[in-house]
Order: sequence, then structure tokens, then C-alpha cells
Amino acid sequence: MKETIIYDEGYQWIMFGRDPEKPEGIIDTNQFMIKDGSRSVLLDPGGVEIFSSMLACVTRHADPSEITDIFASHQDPDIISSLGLWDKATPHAKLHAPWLWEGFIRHFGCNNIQYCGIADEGGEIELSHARLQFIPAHYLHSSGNFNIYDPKAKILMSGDIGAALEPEGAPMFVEDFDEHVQKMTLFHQRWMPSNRAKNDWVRRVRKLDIDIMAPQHGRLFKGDDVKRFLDWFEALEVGTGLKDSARSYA
Amino acid sequence: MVHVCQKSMKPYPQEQAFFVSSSVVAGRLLTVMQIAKEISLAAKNAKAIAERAGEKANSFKPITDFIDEMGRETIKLVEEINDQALSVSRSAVEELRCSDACDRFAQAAELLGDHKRANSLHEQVEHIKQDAQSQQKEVRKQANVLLDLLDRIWSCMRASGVISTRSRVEAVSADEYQDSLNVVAETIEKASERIKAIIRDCERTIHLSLK
Ligand SMILES: [Fe+2]
Ligand SMILES: [Fe+2]
Repeated sequence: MKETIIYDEGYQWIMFGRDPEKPEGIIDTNQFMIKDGSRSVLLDPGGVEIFSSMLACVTRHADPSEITDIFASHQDPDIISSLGLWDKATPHAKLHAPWLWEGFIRHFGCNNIQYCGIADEGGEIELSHARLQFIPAHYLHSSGNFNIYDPKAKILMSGDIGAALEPEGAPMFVEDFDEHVQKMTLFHQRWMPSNRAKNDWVRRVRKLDIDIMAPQHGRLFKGDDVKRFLDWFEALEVGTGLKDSARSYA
Repeated sequence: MVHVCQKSMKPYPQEQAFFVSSSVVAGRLLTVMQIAKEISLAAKNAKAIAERAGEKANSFKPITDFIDEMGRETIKLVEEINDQALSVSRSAVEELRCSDACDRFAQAAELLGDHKRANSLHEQVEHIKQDAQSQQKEVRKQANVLLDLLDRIWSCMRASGVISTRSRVEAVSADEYQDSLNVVAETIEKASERIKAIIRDCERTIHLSLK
């Protein structure tokens, strides 16, 4: 699994992904770690199948006992189905995840880790230097869904928003936005159900100062591409990704 | 196009993971429960016949009590086995989770190579291994309890063989009630043979998956 340090000023944001070892047929995912002194946070640590690679990567930066917090943006298996294993690796950690999904996420195994439900309106956690905000992103795509915003590092971890379906080994950052659009369009039309939720999110996120927008699949957006993404997303009609033939049984 | 699953139904494999086989055992015992209820019903019939036969079936009456008792005991045992099978299945799932975690942690340690923190992962592997071993012991212990309970049903059914033979002997002196009492004896005999076959099958399943 490749790793890239995307922020390194007093504390670090590390991204793991593009795992060549992952079993076939599994969607590639980006995992993030924030290492801030003796505390480390994992953001969307991923599924069971990539756990070993993730644990090895994470351990290169911190002892598992130093992982004090885990964040799950929503309940999907590619986000958090590894929970039952982290529960053994980091039994003293706290899991921050939407309150709405507690009874569901616990199905992955959560006997030791403490589940801290995030209220619908969001919240924050404070590390040694960083203060992370939970930004509501409900219905984008999950009905209980959050992004993480770090105002100091100016990074927005946007979960499935901004995701792209890419061939293996794609570069880490978007290089040509217009060309990248075709890899995102169907994903957003199909997985994002609500124009209202989308427009509300765009309105709120425009107010944030963002250098890097980091989705959970595909490439990251940097600098002006963040604004380009917000413009593109605002104009896109979502909840439209079904072919007519798929409606014939309705 | 509607997606249709083309896979054909496969028979259960001979050797199953233990958490599967113990649940399969619990499922099969539902049939035993049904048959045990048939035995209880046969006991009630026998009682009614003995009642009608009066003195002619005096020696038959205690047998009907035995049969009734045996049916009820079997139902009770099946209920116990059901609980036991579920709890052993749960322990077996936990054991599986631990050994899966063990494998995945060991894989991570291997990926780390000679990194200074590899040791910390190796230590965790040892911890989880211990957990897995104690779970394994627990599973074996509980599996033995399960086998004991199955054995008790088996003993019940062996006793029922003796009872049905005695029923036939006693039926001879019951004149016109002989045929009815013979039917009762036959019902019990067949029921206990069916239960024995299921128990034998359950025991084989458990032994195979414990290997
Ligand atoms: Fe998702
Ligand atoms: Fe996803």
C-alpha cells in the first residue's frame, strides 16, 4: 500500500491507498491517518480485506496503542468493515461515527472500542495541535454522513464526495480537472440521492478555507481544483444515475 | 434483465466449520422435537386405551407412564441441546474471529519486516493467539457437553426399545385391545429409530468438524 504525506507542519496527515496487494474485485480506497504527537486518528480505515496492509502502514508511524481515535464517515463496508479487527488492535480507541448508524456499525464487531455517536449537526475533536471538525454531509451519499475538516491544515476529508472510479495505480492528485470529470460523473449521479442535500453541502463548504479536498476513492483535489469541483458538483443533477431499462420493474 | 442465480443447491460438505455444524445440529434437532411430541401423543393414546381396557391392561398402565416420561425428557433434552448448540456456535465464531485476526496481524507483522515496531505486532499476535487458544478450549469443552446431551437422548431411545418390547408382551394379555396396543408399541419403536438415526448423524457431524 502506498503512502503519501499530504500535510506536515507540527503534525501529519498521511494518506494510504493504491494497494497493489488488495484482492481482485474490491474498490480501491483512500485511508487517512493524522499523527499528532502521542495521539493518532484513523479516518475511514477501510474494509477487512485491506486490514493487514493498513495495520502494517499505520504501525510504521505509530504504535497501535497510540491510535486513540477512529473516524467512520458512514456505515459502508469499504469504510469500516475492519472494525472488528481494529477492536483487537486498538481496544482503547474511540470510534467517532454517525449516531444514526451505531446499531448497524456494531455488527462489524465493537466490543472494546467505545462508540461515540456524532450528532446530526456535527461536532469536533481536539488532538494535541489539531482540532478536527465533523462537517455534516447527510445524504451524500449515506443518510447519516460526515466529512472531516481540519482548519489548520486546510484539508477537507470528503468521504465519497469527489470520489472517482479509476484504473489501478492512478496518480494521487487530479492533474486535469476537465478530464477527471468523466471518472466522477456517473458515481455522483448514481450514489448521491439528493440535490437539496448536495446544494446545501456546497453552500456550507464554500465558506471553508480548503487547500486539499481528499475523497475516499480516487484522486485528491488541490488548490483551484477544489473550487472547480464545487462548481461542477453544484451544477450536476444527482439521483439520476439509473438507466431507463433499470426502471422497467418498478 | 433480472439476474437469476444459476448455482445449484449443494449438499452440506462432510466437514464443516464447527460454528456451522453446531447450528446445523440445532436445526436437525427440531425434527427430533417433532418426533418426541409424537411419542408423547402415542403415550396419551396408550393411556386412553389402557383406561378403557381396565383390568385387562393393568400391567400396561405403568408402561404408558414410562413412555410419557420419555417423550417429555426427550423434549427437555432437545431444548437444552438447542441452547448448548447456539452457545457453542457463538464461541466457535469468536474462536474463528480470533484466529482470523491472528492471521491478519501476522501478515501485517511480516509486511513490517525488521521495522522497530514489528515486535509490538508480534506481541499482539501472541495475545490474540492466547485468546484463540482459550476460545478453542472453551469450544471443545462445550462441544463435549453437547455430545453428552446427545448421548442422553440416545440412552432415552435405547430405553424406549425395551419399553416397546415389553408393550408387545403386555399387549398379548389385553385381548381385544391387543392390536391397538401393538400399534402404540410400533409407533414408539419407529419414532425412536428415527431419533436415533438423527442423533447418530448429529454426532458424526460434530466429530467430523472437531477434527
Ligand atoms: Fe459509501
Ligand atoms: Fe466509499
